[in-house]
Amino acid sequence: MQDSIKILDQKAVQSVIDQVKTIIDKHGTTTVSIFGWWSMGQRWARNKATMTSDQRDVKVAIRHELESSVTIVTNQIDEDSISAACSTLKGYSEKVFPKEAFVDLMQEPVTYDSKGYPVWSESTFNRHASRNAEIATSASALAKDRGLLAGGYVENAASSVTSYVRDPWGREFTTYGQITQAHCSMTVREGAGNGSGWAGGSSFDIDRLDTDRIASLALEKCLMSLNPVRVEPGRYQTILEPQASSFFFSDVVFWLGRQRPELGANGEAYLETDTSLRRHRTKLGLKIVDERITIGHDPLDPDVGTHVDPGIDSVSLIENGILKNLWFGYNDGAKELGQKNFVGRRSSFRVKGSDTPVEEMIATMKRGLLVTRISNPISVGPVFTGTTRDGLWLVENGKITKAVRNFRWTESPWFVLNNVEQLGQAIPVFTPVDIRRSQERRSNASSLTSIVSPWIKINDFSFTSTVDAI
Amino acid sequence: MINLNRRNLLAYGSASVASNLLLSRKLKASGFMHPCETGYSLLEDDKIRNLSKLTVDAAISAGASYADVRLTYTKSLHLGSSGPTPDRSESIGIGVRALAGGYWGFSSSPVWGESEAARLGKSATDNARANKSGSVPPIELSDLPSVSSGQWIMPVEIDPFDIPYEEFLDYMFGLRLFISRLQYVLPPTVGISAWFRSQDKYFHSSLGQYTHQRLYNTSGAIVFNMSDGVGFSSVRIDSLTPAGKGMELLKNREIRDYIKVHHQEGVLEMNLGSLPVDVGRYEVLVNRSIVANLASQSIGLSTELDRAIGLEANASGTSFINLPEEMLGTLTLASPLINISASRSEAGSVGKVEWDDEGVKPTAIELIKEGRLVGLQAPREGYSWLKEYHNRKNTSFKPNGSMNSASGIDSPLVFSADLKIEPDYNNGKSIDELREGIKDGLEFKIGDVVMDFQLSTGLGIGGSVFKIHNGRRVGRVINAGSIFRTANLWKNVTHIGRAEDVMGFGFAITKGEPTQTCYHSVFSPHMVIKDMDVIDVTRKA
Repeated sequence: MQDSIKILDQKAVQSVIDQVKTIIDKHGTTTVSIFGWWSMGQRWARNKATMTSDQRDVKVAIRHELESSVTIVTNQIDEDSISAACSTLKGYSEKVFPKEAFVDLMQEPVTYDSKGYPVWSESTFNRHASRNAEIATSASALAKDRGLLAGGYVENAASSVTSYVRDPWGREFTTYGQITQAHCSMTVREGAGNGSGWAGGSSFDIDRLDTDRIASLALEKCLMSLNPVRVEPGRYQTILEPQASSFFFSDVVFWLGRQRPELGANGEAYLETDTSLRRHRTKLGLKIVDERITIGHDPLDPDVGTHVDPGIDSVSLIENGILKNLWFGYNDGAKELGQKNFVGRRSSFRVKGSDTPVEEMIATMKRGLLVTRISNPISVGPVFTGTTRDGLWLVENGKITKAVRNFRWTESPWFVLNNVEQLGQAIPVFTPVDIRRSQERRSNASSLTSIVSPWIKINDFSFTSTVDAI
Repeated sequence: MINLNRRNLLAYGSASVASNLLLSRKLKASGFMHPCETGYSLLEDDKIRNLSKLTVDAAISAGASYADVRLTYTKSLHLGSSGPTPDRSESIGIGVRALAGGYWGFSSSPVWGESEAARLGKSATDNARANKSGSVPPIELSDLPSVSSGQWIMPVEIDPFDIPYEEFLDYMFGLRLFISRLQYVLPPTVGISAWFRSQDKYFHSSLGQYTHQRLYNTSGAIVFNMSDGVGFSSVRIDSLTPAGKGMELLKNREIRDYIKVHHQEGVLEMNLGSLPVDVGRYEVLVNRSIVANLASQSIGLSTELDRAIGLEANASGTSFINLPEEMLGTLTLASPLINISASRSEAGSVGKVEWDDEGVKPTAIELIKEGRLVGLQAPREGYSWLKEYHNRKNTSFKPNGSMNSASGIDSPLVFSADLKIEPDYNNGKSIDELREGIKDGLEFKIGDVVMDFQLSTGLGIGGSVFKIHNGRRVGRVINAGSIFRTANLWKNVTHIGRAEDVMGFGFAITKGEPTQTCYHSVFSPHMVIKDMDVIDVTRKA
């Protein structure tokens, strides 16, 4: 194998696909996903750089499915390795699979163009480690001057994402896309732990990230959060900053997937079950959240377009609170829905905001809380619970009056999105690539997420207990 | 769905042959011979040794004062519960860490080759040098007690990657059949899955140290539901969390007996009535699996020194041990009954190694002694972090061997070693005896734990909770959980179970930027904790 390169080019991935095509049995469906990534990261803490890293890796996932499936994953793309991976897969599949036609596939051949998605930045791709080190140095100096401790992470990364699918009739499509991503987040803490502030952001273009602004915002929040007081848990009118609100939007968007109605009991959150008919009923066309909420995905939107992949066409999921579309895959949806194309699940999306500035949201609040971000959310039955983190303030009579000790909250995303008092400006939030999660198993590009989320003011957000963490 | 029978299963043999080829062909393609094929000791494999040395030398030549490299070859196999749907993964990684000008640099890739190794070594040093030196104090690494080279293979009884595929299927099919035939079990609900991982990890440092280890991580899940038409219970076998074992984790003499024990408990639970949560303070019998989880998160993570001094503040979080120099030796955070140590030498533990990821031979250390914080988990760099403390106390610093990394692609970080909670050797009771001692209380049998980002407060989420009256279970409590402060929780421990009931449980730890996940085990007895605040976890304010 040659020396590593930052990301794989189209020629390299095509040669892998060509090799797989010649080896794998044409019965069933063959999928090849190739994910090559490179990441230049800079960490710092306690006002000093702690690690400057350059990481890169490849993942080739070859999947063959009939009624069952086998997936082989390797990070070696030389001819012998791919050949051995295919042989291994065949070894499993020839014994495991019944030789039956598998008809639950797309009805018509489909092709997808590799459009010129605006998610590539030369500046991000060519950024040198020394520039990121400068960011760490200046952010640290800023905090040090105020007697505080800064920590942070800035990353510029690039990926190539390839999908190849061949159905049992030999129909096939291939997509290849390249994407850059830049992420920056900073935490400033008071030395004895009496205050903490955070700020962050993501973009495909590192030049769009205002790292000076992120540093000063984290510092400002730390200073504002010093010596927080305890406030009684309860239901509060609450302003969620975009980083906090994005979690609730993400959860709702995740569940907007359609399953075949005849599958029965596994219907997802948007569906109701008509017990008399023993069928699911869709909520398509019905109002499911506040009428001011509009959520969609457009691959040509530079703030949320993440990669080229089948089923990535622009889609409006919720318009003015009404459910307009649901994700569905070619295996599940095309046949039953009679649609030629499908709408692949995406974790990237834009929530339409408004012109209402956060200052106005605060000015019109009688008594409530302002939340910077949330931490460790976990599902407990129909609700989620988590904590607030790195900046929580009490707002009284239109003004921020004091820093508040963090809370544990227990709330349903559906409740949040149906109790909106005001919607603010929408901005790209910090969405770091969780590369490791994608490495062990076959999922890959889904870890590339970009979200544009607004400030939202919610009525009766439920804070259930105080936590000691600052 | 394929018809699973023994005849079909025995026909799958060639799959495993093919899978073995994946290994040998790939490594041949990279120019290496693997010991599986040659039978030679890896320490005698000059090619790997030379490659790792070349990487380190390149870093030093570029100006690093210290460098180390990890090469990993990782295999994993996941077998799903619904049928023969294997996921098989293999990957190679090489990552070099270099110390230059008072900063760390790191570079990694999936390519094993001489020119790539030289590139990575230089790149790591260049990355460190990308930071301007200024007046930053130098990083001082503690001396290694001994610079030892060697090879160590984690002892497992059955290497899962030596087993023909049909044997997996045969065994899992048999286990499924066994469970399905137990009284009241609903056969369609029987779920069995397994996940196997092995990793060959080579380490070479500029101190001349060269080691090779083969590590295993096996876990599984066995779940089933039961009903007699009136009552219902759900059973999950708790012994299959990640462990430093092979196939024997699932395939052993005791597993069927253990399943029977859980089944019998399920039968008893099936006919207990369901009760709503009566919010309040209770004496609670906490099952060892939950105690282990509590210890993993509230003691294991909080005593990671990098986290305690704030190096993870922007990522996974900080620690309530936020002033380690002042708190070490003085902070009381548990009942005098509590003694917890950290080591990486327990048989069967998933964190067991002979050397950590910076070449340190792990040593067992006490973290909590009679309720007091007496130890922290530190890497070699911890010498710099705690220098003032040790000078003041006139004590010497020792790294405990807690550096770890998920693979060669990741830079090493402090990950909690395996923990051992000492049982009550003298007066420890069985779980039945502990239950009998509770007049009115609760029993948390299965559950999860989630902590805040400073590990100071947490939420216990009960998956299976019972009301206890006069020493007996009298009902199942639905949606019960507990909110707690770490210190209060451990200080309120009133009884610790006996040594015979201590069991190991494996947990994942995720930290870093970008994130990476490593595993450790916690060996724990059952416990009784007083004054636990019990809540309905689904109830809003």
